[in-house]
Amino acid sequence: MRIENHSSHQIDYSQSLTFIFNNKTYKGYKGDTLASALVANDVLFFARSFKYGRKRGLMAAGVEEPNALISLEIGGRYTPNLKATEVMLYDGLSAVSSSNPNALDFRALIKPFHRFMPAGFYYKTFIKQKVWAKVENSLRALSGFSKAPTEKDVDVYDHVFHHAEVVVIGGGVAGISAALEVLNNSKTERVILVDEREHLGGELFNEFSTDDAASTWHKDSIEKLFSYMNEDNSRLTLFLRSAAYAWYDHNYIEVLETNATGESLVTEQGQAARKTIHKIRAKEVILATGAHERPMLFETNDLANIMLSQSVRRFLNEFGVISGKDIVLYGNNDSIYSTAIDLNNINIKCTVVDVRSSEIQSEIVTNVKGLGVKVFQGYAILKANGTHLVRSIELSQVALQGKEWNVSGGSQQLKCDLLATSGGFNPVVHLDCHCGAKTFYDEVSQSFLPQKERNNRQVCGSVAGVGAWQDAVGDAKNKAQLTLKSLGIVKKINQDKLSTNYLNFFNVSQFFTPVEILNRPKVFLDMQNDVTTLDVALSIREGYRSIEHIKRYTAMGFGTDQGKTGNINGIAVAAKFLGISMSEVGTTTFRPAYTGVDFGAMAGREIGDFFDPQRYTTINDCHVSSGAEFEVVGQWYRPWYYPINGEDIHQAVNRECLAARTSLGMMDASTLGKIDVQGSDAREFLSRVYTNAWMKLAPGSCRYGLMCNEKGMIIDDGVSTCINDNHFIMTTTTGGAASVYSALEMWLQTEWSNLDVHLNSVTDQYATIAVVGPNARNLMKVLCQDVDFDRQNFKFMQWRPGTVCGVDARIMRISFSGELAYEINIEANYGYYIWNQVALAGKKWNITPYGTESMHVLRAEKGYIIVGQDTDGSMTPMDVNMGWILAKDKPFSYIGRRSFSISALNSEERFQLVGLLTKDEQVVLPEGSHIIDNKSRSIGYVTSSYYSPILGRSIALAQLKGGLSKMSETVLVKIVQEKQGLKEIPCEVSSSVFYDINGEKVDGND
Amino acid sequence: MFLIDCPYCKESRDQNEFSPAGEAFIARPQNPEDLSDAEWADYVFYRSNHKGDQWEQWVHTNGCRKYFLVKRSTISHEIIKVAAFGEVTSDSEL
Amino acid sequence: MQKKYSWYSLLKAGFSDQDWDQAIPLVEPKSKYDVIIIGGGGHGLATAYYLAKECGITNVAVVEKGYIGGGNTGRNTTIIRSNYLRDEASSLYEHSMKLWEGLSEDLNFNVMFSQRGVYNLGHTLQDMRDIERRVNANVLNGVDAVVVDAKEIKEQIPIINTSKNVRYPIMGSSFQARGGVARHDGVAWGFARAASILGVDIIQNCEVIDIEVEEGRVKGVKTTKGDIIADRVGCVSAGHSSVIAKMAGLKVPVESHPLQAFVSEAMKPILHTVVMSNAVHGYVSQSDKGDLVIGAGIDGYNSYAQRGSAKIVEHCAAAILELFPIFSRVRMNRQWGGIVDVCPDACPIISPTKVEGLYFNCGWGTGGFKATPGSGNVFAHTIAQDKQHELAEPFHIDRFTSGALIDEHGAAGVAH
Repeated sequence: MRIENHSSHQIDYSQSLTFIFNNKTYKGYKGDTLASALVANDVLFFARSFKYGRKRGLMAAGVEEPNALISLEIGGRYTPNLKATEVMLYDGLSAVSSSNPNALDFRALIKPFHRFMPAGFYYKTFIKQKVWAKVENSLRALSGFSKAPTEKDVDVYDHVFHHAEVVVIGGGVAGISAALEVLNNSKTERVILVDEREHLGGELFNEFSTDDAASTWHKDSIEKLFSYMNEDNSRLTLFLRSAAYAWYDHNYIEVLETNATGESLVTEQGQAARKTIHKIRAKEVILATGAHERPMLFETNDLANIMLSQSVRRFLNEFGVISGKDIVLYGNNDSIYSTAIDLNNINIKCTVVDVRSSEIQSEIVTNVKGLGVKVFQGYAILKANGTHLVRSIELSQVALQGKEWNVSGGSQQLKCDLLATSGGFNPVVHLDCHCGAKTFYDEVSQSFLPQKERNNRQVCGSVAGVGAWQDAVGDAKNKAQLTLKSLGIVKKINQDKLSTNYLNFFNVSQFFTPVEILNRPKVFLDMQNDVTTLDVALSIREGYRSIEHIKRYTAMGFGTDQGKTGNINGIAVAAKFLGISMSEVGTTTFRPAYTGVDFGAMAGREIGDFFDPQRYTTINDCHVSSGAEFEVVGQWYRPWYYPINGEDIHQAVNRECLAARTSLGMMDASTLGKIDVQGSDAREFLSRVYTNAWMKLAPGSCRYGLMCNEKGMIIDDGVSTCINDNHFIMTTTTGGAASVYSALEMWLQTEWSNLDVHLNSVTDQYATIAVVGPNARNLMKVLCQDVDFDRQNFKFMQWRPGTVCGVDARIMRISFSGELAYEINIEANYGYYIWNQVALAGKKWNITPYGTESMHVLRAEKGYIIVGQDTDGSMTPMDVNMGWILAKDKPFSYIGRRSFSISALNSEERFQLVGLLTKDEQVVLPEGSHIIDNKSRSIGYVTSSYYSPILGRSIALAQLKGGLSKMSETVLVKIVQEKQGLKEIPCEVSSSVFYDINGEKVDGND
Repeated sequence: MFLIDCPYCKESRDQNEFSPAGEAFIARPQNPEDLSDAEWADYVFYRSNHKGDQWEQWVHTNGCRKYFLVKRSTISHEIIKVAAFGEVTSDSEL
Repeated sequence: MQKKYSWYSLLKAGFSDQDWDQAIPLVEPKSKYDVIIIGGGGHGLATAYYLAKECGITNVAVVEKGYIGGGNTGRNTTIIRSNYLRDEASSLYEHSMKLWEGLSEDLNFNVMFSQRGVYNLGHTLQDMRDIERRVNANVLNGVDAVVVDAKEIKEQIPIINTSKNVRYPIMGSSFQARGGVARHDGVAWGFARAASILGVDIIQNCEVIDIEVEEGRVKGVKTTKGDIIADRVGCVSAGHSSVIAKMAGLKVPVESHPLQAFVSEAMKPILHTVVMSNAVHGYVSQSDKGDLVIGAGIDGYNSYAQRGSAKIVEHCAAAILELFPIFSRVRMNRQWGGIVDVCPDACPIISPTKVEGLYFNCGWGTGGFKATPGSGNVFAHTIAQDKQHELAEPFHIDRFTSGALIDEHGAAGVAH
């Protein structure tokens, strides 16, 4: 219910909002979370638990909430598994429970069988594979929380980068104080302050009604902070609704800012990001992440309206709501008394049950007693009663004897409709541990605290175990001083004095783990996954003793809350059952994310068009207007073929190939990698990285080169052009350009820095158009008047500078088809123009643009390899029958050469590249099909296979074991896919050169 | 996500700008043909893969594209030193 | 005699306060064993189990520096398949697959091996050529595999994006129906329990600090729990193989790198198979608990830290959204890293060493989990007979000297 006229600090009563939960319409206010608005409307059941399908209500008020999982909105805004406590209410919000607490639930129906389903149940049953295969799917259907989304997200996400000298994580008392201390004592240092909530102040709001100093301090501090923010060139950046969820190496912190959960972000101005990841590189980090309260343990502690004491306070003080009228406060420390005072102030009946004996007489205990509140000291709750909802509790006396808690005496019943518990506090050490920092168990505060010393990091406030807010202020100032010192800003540090009991301000008792209670059924540790103390006991009994094993065996802490409230209790229970200390048990590893991070936010803008760069040549528009189909090669989009008049790929490729063979074709070769190699040692350099000789290549000439790695395997090939003695242009494969360039740089810088060689990647600087076919020379004569194209004067494998249609060009006479061919290289921006000019001038010879597919056919007809298709990183030059390209007398042992003499590289059983000719000339072997021996074992496979229109038959290249010594033998290719209705296809092993075997075409026919 | 000082650019930049390039001081043998197969394999395939502080090569891929040396802990990822290429030539130096 | 897991025993335990025996008994090391296995991950435990079960060597200790299954076994995305390219690799992985198919029964422990099928997507023409090649090789090797086109993929996985209008459209896929996933912890525990029943000592929190070698022969190990003598020592310590090798004065050609994975919050089932893509780089399946289990790429630097770079994970999330745009509002719950020992040819080392009696099983890189039973099985035989198991022969460490590499990079589509 809502407490009328309560001075709740987050609610704007002037703005009423309407929302729908589980198909019912409710009203709330701006400032509410979905959880607080539902509490105001007396909704107590939020969802069902994972394993047993138990009806559950709220336990906490923040991100630590384990139970209240909901699904928000529908369609493109549908969001699964949100905690009702983290969803800020907006008008029109619509949500449903992740699993409906008001509907029948199979898991709950089989309640009588739960006793036969202990932790590890599935390891022990459905052991027969066939049975498991049958039941698994039905079991799967029971799992999971919300339904998965079914539509594409309508929202977008951003990544923003920041640098700061100091990042303060947590905007409670300690965080505010630390940020101010840094700002007040520095001049230029940038500070980023991050908090996951709507407002700065953390838990301090809870003190306002009873402590004027708290509200005054808050008001003044916020004013001061805002004055820094309002400065020109403000040094302070504030992120609210922002969870620091990961801390990576070298103080790299990722923060998820929530701009909206389910509301629309589309406005006339455009679409704002739903969430933003702020990627912050900090010099210094101050952690003021606070602490989560941990619950007390007792039987059926999971009933609805059993909550955390501080969470009840928060709902009351921040949102003005409470879910009960007859309240029991139960715990082992003084903080529950603060809740009692708050409740008393609004005339809500409450009773305190404190496990500590009456010997403990804090001031606050006396005060509460003085208010007339009934206080049971030295009492424990054994059990909560009620079907789904707490109705009463069972009390018994308890005493700490040595280190053991012992329950004694008979039990008594106490009625209540809300039970709020506090078992102490768990510092939020998560972030600190992401990068390998450790925690230690501190007996004074009864909590795991962050490791004391860590470079460039301070912890302050309750994450450091500090309890009172006044101490947190002092602690934060002290730690900020250390930060300032580390930054070199202050030399001498001032340290405020803290109160003597600052590490256990709340007088938290020794961990409350009486075996009388732990051995009861249904004492839940992990609410979401229904892990009980008996599960932990069983895990240990079965030998799963490490806390990591316990976690994994019982699923404790695996939920979306990551065990924020339950894990430390679990560790205490494990310690108890193992008979060792908390410290010896230790914690499980803390990993990102502290709270859930949407995949969309992680990806940011780098999806869709921005997933990977798309590269197009400057000629691309021509290809598009010619109706080309495209192939993705590396990051490039290359024309694959140019269908006309409804041709399929085969018809188009046949036409394109024949044009190039019989008259004239043209191709955009701009994507080939181009590396400009200059310097007096350029020749020597090429000689070292290529297998063949380069010392005598004359200016004006080109040469094909094959590049290997040190393993002796082919990694790239291409033609290099000698511009002059100190200048070469190397071409690489399209896909290999970047890696080859990197490898060359590596050799030059790390091994051969004495060579005078300079490299420059010029792939994007030139457009390359290949004109191919018997009429290529005729065309070139039309296009370029200042070059002598006479076959004797401009020979194959030579290049000439010239002017093509008024544009400076380098014209290479090289060929990847065996035909007379020229490659026109012009400055990239002329690509479009020259392509069109070539096409226009070539009309006379019916010039035909062709794509990568025809290029592949033409080169295969000549037996030219494609690195990466005919080779796979495990082929040597000898394997592809290119032994001729290995220079014998180079003084320098070029890259890969030494490996050629290793035994396995000289085996006769190596895969070698050969040609395959099907006996039935019209059958085209599928690429990737295998050659088999007489025992149907693979002895090779088809790397390239095409129908050759000029030969009127199929051709193929294949890797075949010992293939080079099997010429003319018949082998069988097994067609496993039976695409062509055939099983085994007889082929003749042949040379890989199928067409123009003597190389007569390369000069053309004029 | 490391913050790496490029000794050439003289700036601390995010790891995204750099690429690791293997263990440092793996010099290519002067005369590979004189090596036994085992010695050659040692150069090509075997690395010390040290657990602890090790010198390694990094390259400022999306920056100056220079190779340089980084002494880094493979346990904590802490970067202890950076050096221009050639400034350090063995583990014992500096 | 340990209580057998069955419906009957579950029923009985339900009435008797779950009085189960210790699955993993707490034991202290004896001073001498016939064989010591260093490393209590899946492979090490499987080795011990098969030594006891198939080789008659039960006086075996598995020494683990932390808790069993706490390394890569408990950190991987649990994908199981045997559709490898090379005959040597596919024989080994298929051997493993066959063991998986009977593993739960063999161990009397449900490792939840779920044969929900594995898709390896192709996004380029070369991807598809590689897929055809690999699938055909698989079929010839008796490994189930088919090539499916984008339309069939869409029919089987309606939530996948097969639009042609994306950066790397899905062109097709290989599909191995027998592939799937298993419960990783269960695999370690199942092997540990079964091995313990046969007499193997599993010693946790016991770190090997040195290996005793005399005159080229292994004599035993020094541990944080004292010295242990053994004539034969098998090292199965994954990312720490180099560290252990160094203790024996050896080097192994592996490098340790971070490999990251992450899981989403648990949702109702929507993805019923395993989808892997090398080109956009991400692997995803949905566990029986309901969370999406996603594997990312490896970081290029050496590390023993069990954590990697944010950009790798974030890029992987983008890749998953390219394949499954509907997962955009699903949240990552947890991310982590393992230390993978990567071999230059992307194949493992299962081998004797220059030190007599010392054997290494390492270099599984990013793909070790699926091999767990097969790896343990052939390694057990290799140790027991002091001679490589037939299927392990190609994986001798000497291949890096002889050049007889088994290059699986091509199959993974990584190199090209």
